[in-house]
Amino acid sequence: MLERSVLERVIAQALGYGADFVELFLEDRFSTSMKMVNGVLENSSSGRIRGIGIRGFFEDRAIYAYTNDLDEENLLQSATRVGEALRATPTQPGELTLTQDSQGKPHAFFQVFTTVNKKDKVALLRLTTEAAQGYSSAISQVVSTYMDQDQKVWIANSEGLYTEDRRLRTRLTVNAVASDGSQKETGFESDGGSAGFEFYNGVDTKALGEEAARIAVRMLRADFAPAGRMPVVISNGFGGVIFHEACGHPLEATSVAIGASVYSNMIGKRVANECVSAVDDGSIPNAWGSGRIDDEGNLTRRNLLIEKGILKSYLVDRFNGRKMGVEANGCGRRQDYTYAPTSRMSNTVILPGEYIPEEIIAATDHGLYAKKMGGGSVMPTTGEFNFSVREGYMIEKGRVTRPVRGATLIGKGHEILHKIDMVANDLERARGMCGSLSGSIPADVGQPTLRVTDIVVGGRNQ
Amino acid sequence: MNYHEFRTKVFEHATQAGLQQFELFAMDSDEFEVMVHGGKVNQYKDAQSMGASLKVIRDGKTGFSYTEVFDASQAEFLVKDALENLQVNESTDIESLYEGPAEYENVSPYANEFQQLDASEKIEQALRMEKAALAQDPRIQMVPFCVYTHFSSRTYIDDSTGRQLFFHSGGGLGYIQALAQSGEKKKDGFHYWMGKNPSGLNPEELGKVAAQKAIQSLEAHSVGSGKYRVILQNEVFASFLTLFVSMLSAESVQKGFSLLQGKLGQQVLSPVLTIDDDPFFPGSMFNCPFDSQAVPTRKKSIVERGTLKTFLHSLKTAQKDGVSPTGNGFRSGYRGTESIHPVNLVVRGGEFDPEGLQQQLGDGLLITDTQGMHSGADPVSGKFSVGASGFRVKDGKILHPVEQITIAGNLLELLSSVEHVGTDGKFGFVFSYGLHAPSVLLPQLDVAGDAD
Repeated sequence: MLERSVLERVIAQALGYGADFVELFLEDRFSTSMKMVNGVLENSSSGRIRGIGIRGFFEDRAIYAYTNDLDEENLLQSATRVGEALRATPTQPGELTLTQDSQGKPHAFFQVFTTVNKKDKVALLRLTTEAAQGYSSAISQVVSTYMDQDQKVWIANSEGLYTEDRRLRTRLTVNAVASDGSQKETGFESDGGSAGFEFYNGVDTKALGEEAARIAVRMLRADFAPAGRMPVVISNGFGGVIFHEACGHPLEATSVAIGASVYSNMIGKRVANECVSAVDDGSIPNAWGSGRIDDEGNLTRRNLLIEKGILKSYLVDRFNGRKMGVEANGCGRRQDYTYAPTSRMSNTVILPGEYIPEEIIAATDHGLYAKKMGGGSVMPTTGEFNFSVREGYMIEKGRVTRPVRGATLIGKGHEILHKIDMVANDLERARGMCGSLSGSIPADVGQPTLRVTDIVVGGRNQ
Repeated sequence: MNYHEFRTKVFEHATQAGLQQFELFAMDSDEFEVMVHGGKVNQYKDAQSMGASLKVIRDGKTGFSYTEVFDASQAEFLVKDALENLQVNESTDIESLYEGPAEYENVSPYANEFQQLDASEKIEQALRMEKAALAQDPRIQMVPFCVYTHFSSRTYIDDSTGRQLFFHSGGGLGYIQALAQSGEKKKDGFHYWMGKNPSGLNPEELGKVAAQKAIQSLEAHSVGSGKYRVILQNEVFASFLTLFVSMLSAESVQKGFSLLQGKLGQQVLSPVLTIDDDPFFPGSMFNCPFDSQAVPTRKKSIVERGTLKTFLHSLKTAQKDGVSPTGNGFRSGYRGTESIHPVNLVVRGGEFDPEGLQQQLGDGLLITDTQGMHSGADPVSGKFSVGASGFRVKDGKILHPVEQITIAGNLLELLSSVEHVGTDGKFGFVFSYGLHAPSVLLPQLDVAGDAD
């Protein structure tokens, strides 16, 4: 894409202004997105982005610039702007030679998206849509989306690193609406991975549509969830969104480094019940949030965050690691070159326990069973979170009984972790998009079925 | 090659491909951001990017393709790729280029007001914001976020009719979060300012208010579950209105995703509510003379005393309904697809100032913040169940701050139950449009809490 010697000169330019670290992130990406509404392909759009981010550090200050004019003269000017904004003492930089890094294994892909006829992508949407429509006559609308992207990145820095990665990702989502004339309810399902179009060889696209429709129809016939504090059993898979939001985000160095996280200065301390262990792992082959390297050029890896309730590690990017005095651990990520990277999750899960899921239900006299979670958010500073339950049921005398809708779970993340008292053995991951300081990125969440002894459930008052 | 040469190449290829209707939509954007922490610059961003999106139309169908690479081979690929997208498009809606009158309002463009300040002045402003928050109260433990940012976009629309449009929009934002701590209790407070002219930003005021908000909620606790009389403070009411906006899109209506389908001309909201779309709202950085489809924007009444007067239209939806386009077909950028939204949604102010509204409330809750609107509210069904915080009010007076509650209901029921509207209209924003909303009083809302 760009000659290595050009990258060397751009880095040297910023170093000359006294930067003590300089990094370049070059990206060239082709993406496609499609949307089918009620069986009609309404929109197909594709395009290419290409640009470079130039980041310089001086002590505890970071300057970022990006541009998509890749002329060397313009790049040198951008490097100059970065250098000047650092306000360091200009120096004469030494010789810089970039050396190719080839550690780790790239995530395999076989069928590059541009070689696939767009009609084959439309066919996936059609299968999913028709499966949802055919599930029940109560299904009034179905929206399904398809996306793929082929991202090539080149990363170089003043420590001599030169590395590259190619990340192919694709995702299929389906949203079904059920209505009975006066009421509407929606159901959602998706699948995706870091792979080429061959990913869909292993996906039952019909089942995705049916699952979205099943949830919508089931919730249409549900009562409103009762309000109040109660035990909640959260099912596996997307249930992990709670850990992601309530505990994963506060473990990111972005808030830990400035002491703004509820988990600042807590390494080695008990932050959860003993049955809770959790990891973030960006190296899982072909998982939705995976890559060979992160967006700072470090190899992705399995980071043990919590072991038997004890806090073991944070998610650390290079800049915040510098402030904390610890090494970055392969989780510097960004949406694209228009964002500076920061510490982010990739595939984050609570590890399996010993119970079988049915045992946990049977051990619960009265409570809420959150079979499918919707999205949510958290304030890393106070730990306050909120989540919507997409598909819920009451648990009465150890059995799952009537469906309930409109439930919201609220609480404080650091408190909830101590209240997880049973963890099952059915770990599963699910796809999501995670939004934060460095943009929106693909991330897997996951957990086994587990029980929280009590959470405030927001519902309606009967 | 430069953009001008690139455009010529693209148009040549499009013509060669036998296309008669096509349009190139380009944006040249810049962005500046400084984040301070602990009296020092922490992060700083200074950036520029440009991209263009080609729309091709044939037999009423469209195809899109975008690029940030401007060279000869990309010009050729752009046309080929847009045509491929057109070929899989199955929509029976008729797409076209705008052919109506080209009379555009004279909207004052962004004049680089923020760029004229030196970077060091902007850093100074951010530092003053942080300092003011920390100085406000010893319980302010830190300022996790303190940001000064500005951005601008030059939009170019060129199409096969020979039309050439240009507009420059932009503005800035000051944003601060203060964290208060007392014993084990932690609370944060946010405050922001946005505008087209940096002289409107008062750093001391921003810091002070964020700190006050954090301090005021320190002693918060939950309330018992039940039905409460409620005031939704202006910013909270604005966030509920974003759900209403998605119901106003004629696209949602036509595809059966809006509860407002078939309700045109009917009383859908409380008679105390009057809502306009005003593309020329004083001071708004979203003001613009045309939408992303070259249709002139215009001021219109959406809801008048509770009666739904119009949906918001793009060219395509207007054609389908047999009405005039309303100038609401927008693109968030060249990478995004078209979506329908207002320029500035403006709710007309009512009769009570905040204290008066509180008197009218008597006993109930003043809701000052919600959490999880993006996940806990569904614009299709109108149902919401979201986290909230605020104050318990008794006899018109604030009793104590409230946290860890949820509020639940249905949006249209909420909007049709509004009893009174405040005078405290506040301008804010959601992604790509402006929102000016006052506080409102509701006779009843479902609250779930955790106290006896």
